[in-house]
Amino acid sequence: MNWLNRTISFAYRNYIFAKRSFFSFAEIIFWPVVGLFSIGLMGNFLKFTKPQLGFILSGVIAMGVLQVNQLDVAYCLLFDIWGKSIKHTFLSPTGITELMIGSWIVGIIRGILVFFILTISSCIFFDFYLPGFMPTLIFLIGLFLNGLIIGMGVCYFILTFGQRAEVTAWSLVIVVLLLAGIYYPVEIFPPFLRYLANLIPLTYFLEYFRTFYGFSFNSKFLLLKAFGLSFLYTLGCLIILNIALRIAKKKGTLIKLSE
Amino acid sequence: MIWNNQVAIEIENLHKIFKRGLFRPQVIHALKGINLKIKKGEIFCLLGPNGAGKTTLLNILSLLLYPDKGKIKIFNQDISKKENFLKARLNLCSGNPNFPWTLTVYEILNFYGKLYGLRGKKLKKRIAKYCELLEIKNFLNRRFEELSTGTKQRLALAKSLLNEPELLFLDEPTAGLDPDIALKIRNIIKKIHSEKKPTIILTTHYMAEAEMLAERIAFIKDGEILAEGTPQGLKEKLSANNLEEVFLELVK
Repeated sequence: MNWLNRTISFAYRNYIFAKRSFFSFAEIIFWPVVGLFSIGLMGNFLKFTKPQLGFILSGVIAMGVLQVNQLDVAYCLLFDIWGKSIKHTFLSPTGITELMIGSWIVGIIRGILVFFILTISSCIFFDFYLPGFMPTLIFLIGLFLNGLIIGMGVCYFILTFGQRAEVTAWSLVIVVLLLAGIYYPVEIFPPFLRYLANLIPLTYFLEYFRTFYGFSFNSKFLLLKAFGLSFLYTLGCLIILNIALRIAKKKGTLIKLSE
Repeated sequence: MIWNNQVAIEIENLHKIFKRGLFRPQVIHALKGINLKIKKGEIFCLLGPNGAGKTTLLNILSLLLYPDKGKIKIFNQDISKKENFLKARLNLCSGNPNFPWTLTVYEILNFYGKLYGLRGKKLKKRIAKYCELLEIKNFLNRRFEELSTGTKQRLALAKSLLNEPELLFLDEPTAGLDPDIALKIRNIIKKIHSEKKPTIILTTHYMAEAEMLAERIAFIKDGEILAEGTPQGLKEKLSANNLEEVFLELVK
């Protein structure tokens, strides 16, 4: 019960931060909608077919949802670092898992909001359509799992390299999206980049979703690879984060982050 | 020697070394073989100038920093093996109080209380109790960023008492405060100690504060303990009139 209590506390704290921050509003509405209209209008100008528009707009939706979701996971450390209060969090009998899951819950809620805003706008202005409930649900779950993994990656960099690594909260996700084929199939990559793309679970979630817009890909067992890799990376990130926390306590980084 | 079942903290040959910089690493030997035993229920004061190693020692004892060498037992438990068990029983209040600035006083106390496993009526009662004691109940809806330094300090103390710790670390709790607020905080510390008898480890560089609160004192400088004993015992041993003279004598 204490584990759940602590997880809910972290979720509630992130919710308050989100509620009181103007940037939170920008993250949910402004940036995703700007992205959607710039890509959607470009699609109209270039006279994309309906499936082609579905292909690139699914990339825009993925970007909006993933960005906000992973940011919330990263915020669990960043808000503490900006407030110089991280030592109080780790002074209590709390673990890194509660911290991540609690923040991720708020990331999921904010991600769902972004998803609805972008999907409804896409349907109204660009004649976009969703392929059905189950494919959409699987795609969303995939985005949230990838958000958790990227957010944990950012937390690892912050615990290891200190506050100077906070820039990864806004940059790591972009690199992942570029490699996962946000607006294009990863087959167009040179072999080395294609190899990297195949290591990213998001690649398979995007490919799976885009099959419903009439595109076919060389990969087999898309969902098995997508969920298998996501599970592996989540577990791996949790282990690495715990190690990073121990190293931060050994080197004094945790104390430095509170000064 | 202190009897084992009455020992709160037992430190043996504790070392901490910090390495800063990548290409030309600077090595700082912050603690150099500290040996210390602190009794259950006493107020123990670590006195020393800035950079002596007081806060490093406190950070290690509060499990925020791992030592490089040495053994530490808290309540007869090895700190490297029983981290979460011990964390639930201790708390820390630092002299430079920092909390997320957009949260209100109530939200801060509610959040940290929950991290210590408190919830519902029990948590509300605790928050009310310590806000009353520390006279911050009128600030419950104020955001942290809007509080004065003295109120921030009292909030930090309230937060450190929420789990009613058996072991309380106070790291320069009156640093930078006006004399009247500092005195108020010292009196509150005394009151808390007389009521619940937690073991309190206090660091300060105010000799008067140590004299007023501490049952035993250790003088620390450059990561080493220079002397240890009761304030009276130390004064007698060094034929000094006050702790300031004791300190000057020790650093000669």
